[in-house]
Amino acid sequence: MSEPKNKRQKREDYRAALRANGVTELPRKKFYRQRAHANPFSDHSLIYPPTPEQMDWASLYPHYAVEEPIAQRTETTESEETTGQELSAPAIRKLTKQVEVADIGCGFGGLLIALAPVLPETLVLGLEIRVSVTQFVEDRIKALRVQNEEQKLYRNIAVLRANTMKFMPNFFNKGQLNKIFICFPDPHFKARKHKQRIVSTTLNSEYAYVLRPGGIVYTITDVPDLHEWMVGHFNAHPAFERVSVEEQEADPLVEIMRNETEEGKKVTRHSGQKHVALFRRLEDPQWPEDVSA
Amino acid sequence: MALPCHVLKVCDGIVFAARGSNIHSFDSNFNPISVWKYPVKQQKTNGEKAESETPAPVVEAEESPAPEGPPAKKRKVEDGEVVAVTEESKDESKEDTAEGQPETKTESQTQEVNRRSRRQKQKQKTEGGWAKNNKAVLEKPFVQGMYLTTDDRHLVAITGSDKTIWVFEHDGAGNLKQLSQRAMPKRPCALALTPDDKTILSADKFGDVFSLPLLFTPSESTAADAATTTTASEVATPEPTPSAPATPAIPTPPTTDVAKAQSLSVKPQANELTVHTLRNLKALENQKRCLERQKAAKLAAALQASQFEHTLQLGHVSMLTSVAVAVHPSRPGRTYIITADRDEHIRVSRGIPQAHVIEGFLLGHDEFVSRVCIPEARRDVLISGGGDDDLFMWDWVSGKLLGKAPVLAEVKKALPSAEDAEKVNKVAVTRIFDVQQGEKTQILMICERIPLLLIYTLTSANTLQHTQTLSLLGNPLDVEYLKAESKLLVSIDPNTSSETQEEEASNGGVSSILALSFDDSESSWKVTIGGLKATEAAEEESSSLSPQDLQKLLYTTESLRKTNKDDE
Repeated sequence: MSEPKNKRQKREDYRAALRANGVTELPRKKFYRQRAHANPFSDHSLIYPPTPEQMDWASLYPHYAVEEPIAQRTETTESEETTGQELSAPAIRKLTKQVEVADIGCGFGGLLIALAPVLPETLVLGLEIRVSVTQFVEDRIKALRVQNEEQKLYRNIAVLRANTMKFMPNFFNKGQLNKIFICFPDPHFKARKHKQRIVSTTLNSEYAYVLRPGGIVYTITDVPDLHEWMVGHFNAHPAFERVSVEEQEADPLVEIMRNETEEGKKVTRHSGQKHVALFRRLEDPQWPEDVSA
Repeated sequence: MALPCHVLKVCDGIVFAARGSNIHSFDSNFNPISVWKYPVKQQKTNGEKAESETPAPVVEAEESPAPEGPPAKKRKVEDGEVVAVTEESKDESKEDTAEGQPETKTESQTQEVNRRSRRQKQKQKTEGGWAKNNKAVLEKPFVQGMYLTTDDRHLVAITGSDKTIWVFEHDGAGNLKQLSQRAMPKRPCALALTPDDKTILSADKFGDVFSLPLLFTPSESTAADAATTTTASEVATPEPTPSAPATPAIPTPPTTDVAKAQSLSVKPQANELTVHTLRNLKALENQKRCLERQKAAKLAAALQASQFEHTLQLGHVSMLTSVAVAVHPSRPGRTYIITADRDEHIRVSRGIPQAHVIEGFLLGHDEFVSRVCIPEARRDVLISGGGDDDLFMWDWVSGKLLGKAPVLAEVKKALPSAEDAEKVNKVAVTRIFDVQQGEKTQILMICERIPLLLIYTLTSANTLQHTQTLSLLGNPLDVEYLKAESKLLVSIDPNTSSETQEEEASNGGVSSILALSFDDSESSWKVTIGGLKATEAAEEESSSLSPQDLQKLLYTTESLRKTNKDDE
């Protein structure tokens, strides 16, 4: 079994060399391949903050970090008691703005990179469960940032390894997001695997939680069954309504989603179909007691 | 092995104690009143059914490649041996004999057997639960929890491995009458009842919360209805459509289950045009036949499951550990459902019918959450505990953490020897319980395998102050408060009791339930004479379980802790 070891060795050498160069050139995909599926129910060894407030966003978006954690320092001098705790825990630098767009299952990051110049004032976060793939996107963004330093491009995108099915509320506050992209998710054909699908009645409640009213969920897939499944589940959820086709086609991001994701390109190459559906987050209903009152 | 009373429930002078899979009732002096025994007969028929079902696909695998089994050409063994192997899969004792005679076989055969048993082991491993392979456990599912309606007229119980929710009518004098038994699709971990006592919320191992009516009558009409809906939807939707309900509500499982079963009609990847050899064609036909049979079985199972109404209300992608229905004192018209899971989350959702709206999360735990408690006198706060070193106290409506109270530190302090204290470096909270002591709200807490009862006082300034640690004679399993007698009951695992022989003799046996009373002069809890002895009323039930199996059944909380797995 020398073959796999060789491969791993090559990978490690490649990535080490890339890092040594300060990541200025784009990474090559072949050194980051990983099995296409990850079990979302397994524990993995994930890193996630206990609460969204404890998330270290500044390391992902260094250009948007507040210069110095001034606010916290003044606080600590005022209240003597907390000083000890503040010193032991490294102060978390805040961002000047919040992440508002999430790409769940960003894969190799095609959509992120296409969105960066289109939404220059918005922070976009890609979430991916596979380690190697996340590493690839990370290196890719690093390289792009260096290459486009003068234009200040690609500073508003970042990637994170996460299991969103379990830990979405650890990263985002209620109503923080404006858009969620779910592009070419794992179709999980077998009926017994349907509960691993990224769209389900119960998970939609969580998407509704992190989205603000009026926010949009973008879905695209090349699997007709999965498309029907996603439409069925979002339509069935009281917090979402489907966006009309006219409005959908008027949205410039839909075209980007169709053509810029890695999967989308692959489907185009094989001249497959692409099914798009957009859903708007509705206002929460009134409490029953308020309605009757 | 003497079975401990591992779950207690108290109502108005009556003590219900679950021992194994039976429920005993006692009066306040521990005089036995009645026993509800887990229906063994019915269990047997289930077992037979399971047995008659299991061999079928295995035999199938012998003749031709079944879709699940490995291809036939890899099974180069005589028929007799194959049968032995299939037996082996059912009965572990026979596996021993099969492995015990390799000397008589050729080496290749031995390898074959080893390989297969290894594969079986892998299969067992992937199937996950040890419970599945444990015959003794399968025979008698343990009672996992008991819940009372607010009017004390009904007792609801969950049993473990058979995933069943039982509803009993309580006559007020300790006699139970079984009203219904409902097998859930997934194993329920905790229940809660809505304030109007009409609905049960069942939180299951797969993270879903279902609502069921407390009272229901299993009528023929529901089954017939389900059957008609099946045929109707079969005509309407011939292709496997996902459960897409027409009404803009959370899909109702009776239809979903049936739809699911239909969508199970997975077509084989190959068809008559792509298969060319006669042999493969035969295999394909067989595969189709198998699928057809599986589909029929699953449809029947789905119908079976959907014979009673149960509605999906909300869900986590993580095993649920605790569920509570809460009403905040400031807004009495609003009910909330609070669910806690193994992935450190406590979720606050709206009550039925708006359970799809998540109001917030109580985040901050670093380890699993195993219990949440909303004290009756202070319904604005929630106390949660689990694998963390502290108890957490929350203002659950705003989602704010009010404070923490140390658990591990107090445990370490209270353990008699420094050696023990050294060994204990983590705790798993199994019960959090509130008792009103005059003006004071006390929070009592026990941890798994730690013979201590920790008592905290919830102050008006919203802090949890540790007030007392009580040493117990064995591992505590449950705590309940007997209001009529102002007694606190703590059930003890007698197998871990540290009572010496002499003490045992003088007490008349190992204590199974300790009674504690509050000493006003010292304002602390003390053990009083007159608990339940383990020897009383337990003889006929001393179980055939091995101590290890019993331990596994009784101490399940620590196993929720995540072990850091390596992964790519």
